[in-house]
Amino acid sequence: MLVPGFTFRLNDVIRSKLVAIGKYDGKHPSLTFGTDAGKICIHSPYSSESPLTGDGMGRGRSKTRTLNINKEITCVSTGKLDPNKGHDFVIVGTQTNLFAYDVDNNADVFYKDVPDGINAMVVGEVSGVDGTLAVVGGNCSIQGFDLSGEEQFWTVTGDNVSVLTFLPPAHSEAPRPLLCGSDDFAIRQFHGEEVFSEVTESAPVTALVSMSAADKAGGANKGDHDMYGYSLDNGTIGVYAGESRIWRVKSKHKPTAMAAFDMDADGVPEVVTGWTNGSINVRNRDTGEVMSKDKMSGGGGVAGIVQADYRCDGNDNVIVCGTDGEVRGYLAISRDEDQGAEGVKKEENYIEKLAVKKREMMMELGNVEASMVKAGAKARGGGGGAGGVIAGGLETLAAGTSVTHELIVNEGRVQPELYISVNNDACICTVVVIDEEGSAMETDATIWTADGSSEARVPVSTVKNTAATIQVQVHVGGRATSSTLRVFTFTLTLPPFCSFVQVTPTIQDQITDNSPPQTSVTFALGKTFQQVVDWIEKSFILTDQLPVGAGGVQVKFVKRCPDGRLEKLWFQVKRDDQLRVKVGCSSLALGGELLQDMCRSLGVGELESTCTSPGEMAWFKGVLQDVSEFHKTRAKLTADMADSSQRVKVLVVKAEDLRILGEMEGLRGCYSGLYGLNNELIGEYAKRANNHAALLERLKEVNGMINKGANLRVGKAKSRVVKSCREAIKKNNLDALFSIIMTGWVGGVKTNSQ
Amino acid sequence: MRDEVDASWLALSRLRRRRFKQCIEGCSRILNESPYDQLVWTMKARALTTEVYVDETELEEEGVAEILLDDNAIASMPRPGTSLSNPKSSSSDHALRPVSSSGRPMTGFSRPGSSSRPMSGMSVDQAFKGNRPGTSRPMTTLGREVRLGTASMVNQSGVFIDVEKLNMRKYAARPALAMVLVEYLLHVEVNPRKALELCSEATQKEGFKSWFWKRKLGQCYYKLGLYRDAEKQLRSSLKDGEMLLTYFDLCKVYLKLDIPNTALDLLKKAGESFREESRVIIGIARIYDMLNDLENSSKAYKMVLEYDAGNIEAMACLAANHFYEDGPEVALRYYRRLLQMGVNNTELWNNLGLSCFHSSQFDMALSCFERALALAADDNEGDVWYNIGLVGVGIGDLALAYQAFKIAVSVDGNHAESYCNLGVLDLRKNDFDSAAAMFATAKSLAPFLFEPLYNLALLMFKRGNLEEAYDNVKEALVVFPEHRESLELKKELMGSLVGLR
Repeated sequence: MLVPGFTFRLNDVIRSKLVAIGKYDGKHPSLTFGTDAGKICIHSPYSSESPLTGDGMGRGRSKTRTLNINKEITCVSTGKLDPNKGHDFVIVGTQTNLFAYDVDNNADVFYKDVPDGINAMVVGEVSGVDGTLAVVGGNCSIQGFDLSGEEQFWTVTGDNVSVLTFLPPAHSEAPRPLLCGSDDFAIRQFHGEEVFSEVTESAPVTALVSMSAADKAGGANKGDHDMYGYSLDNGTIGVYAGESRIWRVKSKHKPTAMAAFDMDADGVPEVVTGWTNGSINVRNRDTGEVMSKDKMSGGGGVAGIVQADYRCDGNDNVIVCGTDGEVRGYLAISRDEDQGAEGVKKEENYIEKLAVKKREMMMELGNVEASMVKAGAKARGGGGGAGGVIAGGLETLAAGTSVTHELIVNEGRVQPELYISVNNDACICTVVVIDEEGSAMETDATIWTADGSSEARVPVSTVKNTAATIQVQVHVGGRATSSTLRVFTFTLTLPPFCSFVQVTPTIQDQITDNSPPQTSVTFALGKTFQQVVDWIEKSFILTDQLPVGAGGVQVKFVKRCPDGRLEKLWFQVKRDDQLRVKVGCSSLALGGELLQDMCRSLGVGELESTCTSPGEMAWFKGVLQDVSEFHKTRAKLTADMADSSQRVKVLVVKAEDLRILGEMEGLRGCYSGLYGLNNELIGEYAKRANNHAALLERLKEVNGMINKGANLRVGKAKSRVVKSCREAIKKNNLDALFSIIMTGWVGGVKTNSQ
Repeated sequence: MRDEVDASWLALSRLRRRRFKQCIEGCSRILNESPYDQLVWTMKARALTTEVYVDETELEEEGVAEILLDDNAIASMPRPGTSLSNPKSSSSDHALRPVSSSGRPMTGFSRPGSSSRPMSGMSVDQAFKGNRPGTSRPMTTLGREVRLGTASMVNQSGVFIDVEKLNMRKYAARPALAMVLVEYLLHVEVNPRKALELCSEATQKEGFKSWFWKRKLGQCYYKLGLYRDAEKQLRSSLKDGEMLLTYFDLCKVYLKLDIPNTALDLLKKAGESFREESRVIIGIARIYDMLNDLENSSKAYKMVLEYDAGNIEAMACLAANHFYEDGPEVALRYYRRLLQMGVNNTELWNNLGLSCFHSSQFDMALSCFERALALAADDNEGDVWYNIGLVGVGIGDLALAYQAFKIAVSVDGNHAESYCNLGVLDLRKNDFDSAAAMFATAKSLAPFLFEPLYNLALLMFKRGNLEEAYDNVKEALVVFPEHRESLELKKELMGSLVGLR
């Protein structure tokens, strides 16, 4: 059981995820949280110079202060942005701005427009940039701002960034990885501008926390520098080490906050999680086992978990904040006190587990016995000629029944299929396809009812073009109507581009439009021809032999889209003095995925490429035009609203004036005018909100396009594309932007780079 | 003869000689004949603008609406000494130096703005009352930024520029016209919304590189109350062209946002680029003044005088500081210098008189007050009589004092300090009821003075009305938390009240 070291209650609502802790005077920690109506509250019980409240005797000193942001706050963070000052600044993100503020001196540090919005923020050092940055994640982009509010770091990512955190470096010279979770379920590790590694989860990521012991010990590396905990929107929490998951558990509640804290003082941090229902769990980092738990008393959910020496006694506490203003602090449990009890508890747990296992096995045995008895009765009733339980017509399966499976292509439907067959005349009743990662398939689990023959064809439709591992359960019965089924399970790794089907004469007949795809990506590859052929064989399901010739290979694929269209993918490799690859496809995104996958599996570290895509470029031009239009409209709407609100003020004061003078007639006039104006303002606001939403949508598309452009290159070229695209957008140089995306360089292809 | 002079030349000459009325008339006549004469159009716009031009760099008076309804400050309860609404308080201030309604000590120079900023939440009635009871009332709505009517309401035919019908894009293409037009829109039409439209078109035309348009954009945003946008534009303008006036504009924005430390840093930075610029230093001094940091503000004022020996504001403030810091002789020298500078008004003579009195030059003192009275108008005569009353108290001529205070209240019915002193004099005559009434009047007129509250409490205590005494001493301590006598009285009262139970 977890016993709080202290609890107190604040009078303000604490908004979920808007909790931070900072030392604004350099010494004493202050709890900082976002509350209703665009305000930030700072609770500082120790600060010596807290202001006079002025009420009553004027002697009471208030512990909470509020900062008016007057905008919807999206994230709050604290950090020492200025190395020359020993105290923290509070940094507040809103939907359109980033604001750093020196609490102690009541002074702005900077106030910056961030049109991409701010969903996540972390303060720290990014590898490749000097000094501490406030790194914010928005709409497909990650930006880093320095002390003066200048943008020092910019990169793109797949979708809306939902959470950011830093991992400790592997060794003192290694880059400091930035971990980014986004709405497309991906957790990416950035080294500078470049994605270093990427894992895909099954729901939007809501929290990421470094679980390394080195973080606390100050560089004492125990090989766990890349361990981090994560939580997802669907109630899953777990721990990763690098790209491999150690454990995960799922709950029906949603996790709202996560922290790493060494609860049992053994040098290894535990995972502390807060949930929407107000419960707090402490789990072992390496096993996921629950070590202790508690619940908020007020019934509100957990808003945030931070850690600080909040009692100023030299010991760090975990501070759990509830949405209703409840604050609980937990101390690390000293180890020696609970040693004995802990040991006993462990044994008990073990016995409990064994008992459960025993119950399960007993039940299974009972089932088997029951079916044996039933089968025996039937056999006897049937005359008993053959005898034995394996007689025909019986529901039990023949011994030695096995299931084979194969990925094949259904040429009629232009779709890959999973062909499953039984080696005797038993029937396949159902096939369940479980997608544990939740990344490749449309749904987590698909149940396919077979027609009761000894073979089944299960269509495979993937959403993403990534190599995925799926689990398949095949339920086999002696007859189609059997009530007792045997379950065969196997796992299957799908090739990344399995939904693309090689064009065979049968499929060719279905293709009406035979022109080459509009978009094409061309690049030179420093690998052998055979390696590329191997990669094609590994990444696609091939029905025919690859038409390998002396000059190279050309192969066409199509994919059946959900809306019935056929998406083309032409792959062409020419052997000159070096390999030249040309990929014709329907979108730059697909080309990028293909290229990235190829480079990853062939181990290509650096790659330049050129691409053409008249359709997408025209569309992109439209998007950019829209962005500038929306910006202009926004400025005008803002001015209009400000003007109207000035008029509101005039009317309110005038009405108050008239009230004091007792002139009710004029007062009524004022208020009716105010009513009209108010409605007008609400209308204006709706307009502005729509405009803003549309603008965000477009900005996201712009960032997405840069991401696509970057994905067509690997290594240094990739970071260069990201950087120079950003420059071009800042300078509003559209020609350069297009040129960068298509050729990778500002002024077209540089010949010497080839 | 006159008809022979070219009409446009004449108008230009009049514009230069600041004969705006005549210039405008002349221009209108020409424009009636040839409405598309750009030169004349420009001159008329210039004349109209210059006529109503206000120096924007000076601090502005805040209107009631802004005081009551705006919530621009970031921190609601900042650390003392870091905000205009919560300046440093030093315990001796209240006792030695008169305060304004916001509890801020009086400076030596009456300047707009800042003094009316409330300490904390202000009621509507208080906001309407203004700085000193009965004297000034803040401008009803938005200060000067009141548009007299929208274009649809002003339906007269002789409108010079029909703002609503302007095609901003067309004007933005002609920078010379646009620059005149934007000043016209801001100062004559007081229509920042339209001006903003023009500015954004113009700055786009200039490729976002012109400091002038960015500064104007900032000013428009400032007037619209969009301070953060204003900050952004002004900062960007400073990058394109470092102008002193842009610094002042930005400083105003920071003061509105109630982050004086940022404003101070900004002005100090401006001082690095514009050395020996007295306006920057006086800006710094004013902010220190608002923060009650008298030491630093005096330093800054002295520096101002080093560069600009004729700066009246710096002299007046230094004089007041010296006077309240027990240096009436030094203050006297500053006031004499002010007199040499050509300042000749009631306030100065009054201050001269007081300084003379405190430096024991009694003969001079009374003649100074005589001069002050001779120059006095209705709104400041009360103050002069009050000071004469103080002199009376000082020399022991209580009859003179009583009479002077009486005259002060008769001239200015809201003179709370005089009522308070009348109360004290009544006490000496053992006229307790009258004294209590006087204190009560003073208290209702000026709730920001602690003296009537404490006096009333003491009187009530002496007369055995413990409860009322306790209430009043409590109020006195709200106004002046460190007042020692009040604290002692309260302690004693607590003792008596506990004893009663």
